[in-house]
Amino acid sequence: MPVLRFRASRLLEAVGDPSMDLAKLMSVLPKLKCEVSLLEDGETLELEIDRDRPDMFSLRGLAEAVRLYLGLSKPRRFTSSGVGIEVLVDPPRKRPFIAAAALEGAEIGSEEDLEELIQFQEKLHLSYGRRKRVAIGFHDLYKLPSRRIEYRYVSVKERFVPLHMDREMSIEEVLRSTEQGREYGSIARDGDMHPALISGGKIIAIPPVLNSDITRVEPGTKGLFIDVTGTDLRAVTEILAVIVYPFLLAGARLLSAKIIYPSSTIVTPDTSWRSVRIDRSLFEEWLGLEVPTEDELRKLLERMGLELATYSESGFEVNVPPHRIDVLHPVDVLEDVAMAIGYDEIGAEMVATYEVSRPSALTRLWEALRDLAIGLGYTEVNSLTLTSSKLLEALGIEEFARIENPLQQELDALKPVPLPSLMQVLAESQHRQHPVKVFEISECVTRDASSPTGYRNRVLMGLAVLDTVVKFEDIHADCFAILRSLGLEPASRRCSSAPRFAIEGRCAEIVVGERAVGMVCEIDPGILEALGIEYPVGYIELDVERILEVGGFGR
Amino acid sequence: MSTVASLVELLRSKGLVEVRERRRVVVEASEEGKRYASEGFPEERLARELASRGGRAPARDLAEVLGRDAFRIGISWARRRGWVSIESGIAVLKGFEPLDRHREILQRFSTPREVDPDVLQDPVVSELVKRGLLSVRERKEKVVKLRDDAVDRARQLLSVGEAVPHLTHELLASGRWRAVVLKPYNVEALPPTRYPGKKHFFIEFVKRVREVMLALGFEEIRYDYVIPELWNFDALFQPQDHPARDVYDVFYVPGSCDLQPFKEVAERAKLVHEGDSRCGSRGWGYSWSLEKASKLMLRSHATAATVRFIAERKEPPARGFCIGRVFRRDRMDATHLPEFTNFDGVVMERGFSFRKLLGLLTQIMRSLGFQRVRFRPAYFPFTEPSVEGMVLIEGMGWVEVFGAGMFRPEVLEIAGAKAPVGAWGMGLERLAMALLSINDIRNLYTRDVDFLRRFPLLRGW
Repeated sequence: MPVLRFRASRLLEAVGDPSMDLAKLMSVLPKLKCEVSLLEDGETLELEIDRDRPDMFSLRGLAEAVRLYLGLSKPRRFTSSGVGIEVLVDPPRKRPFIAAAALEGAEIGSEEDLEELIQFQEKLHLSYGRRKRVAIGFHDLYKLPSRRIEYRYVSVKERFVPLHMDREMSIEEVLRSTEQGREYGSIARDGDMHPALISGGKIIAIPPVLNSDITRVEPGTKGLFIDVTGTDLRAVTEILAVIVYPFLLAGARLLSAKIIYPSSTIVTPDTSWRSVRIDRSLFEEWLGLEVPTEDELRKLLERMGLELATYSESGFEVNVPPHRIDVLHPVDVLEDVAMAIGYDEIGAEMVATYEVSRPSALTRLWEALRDLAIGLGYTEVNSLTLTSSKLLEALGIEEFARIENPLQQELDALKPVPLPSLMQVLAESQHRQHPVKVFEISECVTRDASSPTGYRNRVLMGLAVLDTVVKFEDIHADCFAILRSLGLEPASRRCSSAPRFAIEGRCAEIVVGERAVGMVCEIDPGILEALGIEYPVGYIELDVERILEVGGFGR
Repeated sequence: MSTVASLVELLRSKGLVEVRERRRVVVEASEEGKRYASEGFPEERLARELASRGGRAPARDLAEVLGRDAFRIGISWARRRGWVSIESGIAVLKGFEPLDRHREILQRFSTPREVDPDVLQDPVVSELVKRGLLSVRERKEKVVKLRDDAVDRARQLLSVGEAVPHLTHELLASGRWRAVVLKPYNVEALPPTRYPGKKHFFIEFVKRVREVMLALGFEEIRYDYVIPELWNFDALFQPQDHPARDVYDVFYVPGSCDLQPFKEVAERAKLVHEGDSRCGSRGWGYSWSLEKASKLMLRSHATAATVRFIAERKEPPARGFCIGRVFRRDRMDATHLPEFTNFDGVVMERGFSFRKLLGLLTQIMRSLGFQRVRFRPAYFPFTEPSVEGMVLIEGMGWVEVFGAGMFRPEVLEIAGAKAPVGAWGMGLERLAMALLSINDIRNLYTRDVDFLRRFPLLRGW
């Protein structure tokens, strides 16, 4: 979720209600899905704003949402003052789409204005594919060498002065040696070519990487040229609508751009409102509420910046402004209505219980096994499925699922058996009062060629005993005690190929009928030493799902 | 014996008795000695034989008459006594005195008899002992005597009978328990520390949640941890370039899933994402990738399991819940774990509305012991309206505990659901921490068995 920071006094000023104080502001914001907190400096507000409302990522946009919600403002429509920019597109293969606009009177008065602009841009980038899907460029409109722009591939040998640099560099060099170049350079580069925006013969940007210094926006900038480039037309036009919105609220004059593709021409940004029809039945079924009267509904919609267009017995139509790109379906309008009413005011409707369910057979067996282990004096532990591949390998376990992008080496794999986590518990608890008897029933992840993923969860029970002396017969007896208590008649067979963690000749496979349900063994001293365990350990492993099958408990 | 000794020592240390040691000697004639007593000593028999032969006889003849052994012993002792000498193989009698006292002594000890130790000093006795004709057994004896000044105390003790430390089967079976006294213990002393087998407090909390859900008529759902992105994201209408589907946020597993078994869901996901849906949605309008949807990952929320449950059921009514581990690429600290327990649920019913969802969540929270629930708007890509729920916890105020909402029509279309679906999800660790007053999430996964042994069982219930 994007996190934004604004100075509280600036936001209050933008809301523009003399009766509003900080406390009141902070109580209104959560009703608009903004989680807000005041930082320790006492003047910076930190807001978590959901990704579906990018129109609230700017100071003006956020303030307007508050104003509308409080009834200080009514939904406003903005139109273009005409075409002021032409963009000739020779579509770059990897990033064919562009939308653009110019804003006269979009003033960047101070460093703080500039910081907010950069924050706005960054959060949009972060929320829309980290520049892969869309990339946004801001330029000083009055520094453009020409208002006829070209968008096309150029050779990576071409040179320009990158933003905040004082010398020309080749695109290749920029991609190789600047921070942005390294981070975003691979997104659009196509062999020896890279997309570029050219104005008056000069490169003004190489989206999605970096702008040129010649159109740099700085305090004192009095107008903006905005480009949005990307891989899909709808995304670039929608984001452009979101970007121009706060400047239009502040009174800037919008100039459209004529985008000339080889086979078509479009004009951006799109300032038209969309109409969404909502059936009365959908409203009532979805929310569980009656449709309000026309006047009430209009007021509710207006508090969310929407217009009521028509109202009838069968339903109503709502006009949605172009910056509300989150409205994909009528239900998105329903949520706005619910928010305008207030979730705590909607009134929860209690639901009938129709039938008490029985725990599943697996859950019943799971609980029975827990009871038996407790009865035998074992303490239940709870551990992560994530484990270390090194530990698994030290135990001689080779088949397991690995994590492709681990955050830390100690958690780069999934345990296929309960042993590794039990051994970690014993290593840490070995000097506690003896005997240390622990168990865990957990979902382990094993390889399984018959599963479409190649992996499967398996419910396994592990029990382990650490003591000054651990006798095989004692753990063997515990294992039999558990199985016999379930009414099963177990038998033991010498392991044909004992796992590497077991002492040779001290490992038994436990069978019920002809089916293996588990194993009992003493842990190999070499392994104990490697794990820093100074006492002998006995281990029991039971396949809970297999026991369910052989015991017929699933029926 | 050692028990007697230790008891004596105990009584002595208490000044009740005095202890004296005494040496006792018992003497008894050996079999050989008894024979000599009646037949005479070999040297006597030798002297008499010589006398009957006139005081001189070849030694060889004597040996023949007396027998080899008796002759050898007899000649040796007769010479030592000065009765006989041997000259060139001829024994010559020089004198003789019958050994009456020797025989008398042997006779006296034909049965064991205790003697004064001084008797052993007698030369005849001493000779008989040396010759193995008398055997001597000695033993030390302790004489315990009640001290004169302790008579009253002893009488008092005796009046209460014999004291024993443990009541035993033997005492009960023999009836001897009537004659003994069970010593009082120091019952105020600390007993030894002992730990019973114990269930894990967090798993018990999970069980409690499960029981609440079963009572509300929900069935439990279980699915794998390793799943294709399809279930975690695409089925939930999360666009493929959504920031949450990033290598920075979720864990990926090498390989991809064969989506053939979920072909219909994948096909509908493509149409809905791209904007070609029948449910009236604009979709996202990008080119959807099957390859991306089949990539393997660790599920990051249990909604991946509940949406699959809906896709398998399709027909209402269905109520399901899943309590299981989910994985997120978070660094471990006091409030975060890369793996934690999600509790997710879904209800698919005709006429199930947002208001009913709020009602159901209120009921669930009340069943778990939270009387006051508050809602506020939220955003999740797969629900609309979306809501966050907070409960009032004593000492903590309002704590955010769950996210919920109505599955979007896009999600219903992808899953093939025939009725509205209300859904919710929450992390159980945070809720458990609040209830159990634990402030480090890692304590729920402790490796220190003593933490578990000492954790109070009913805390927070």
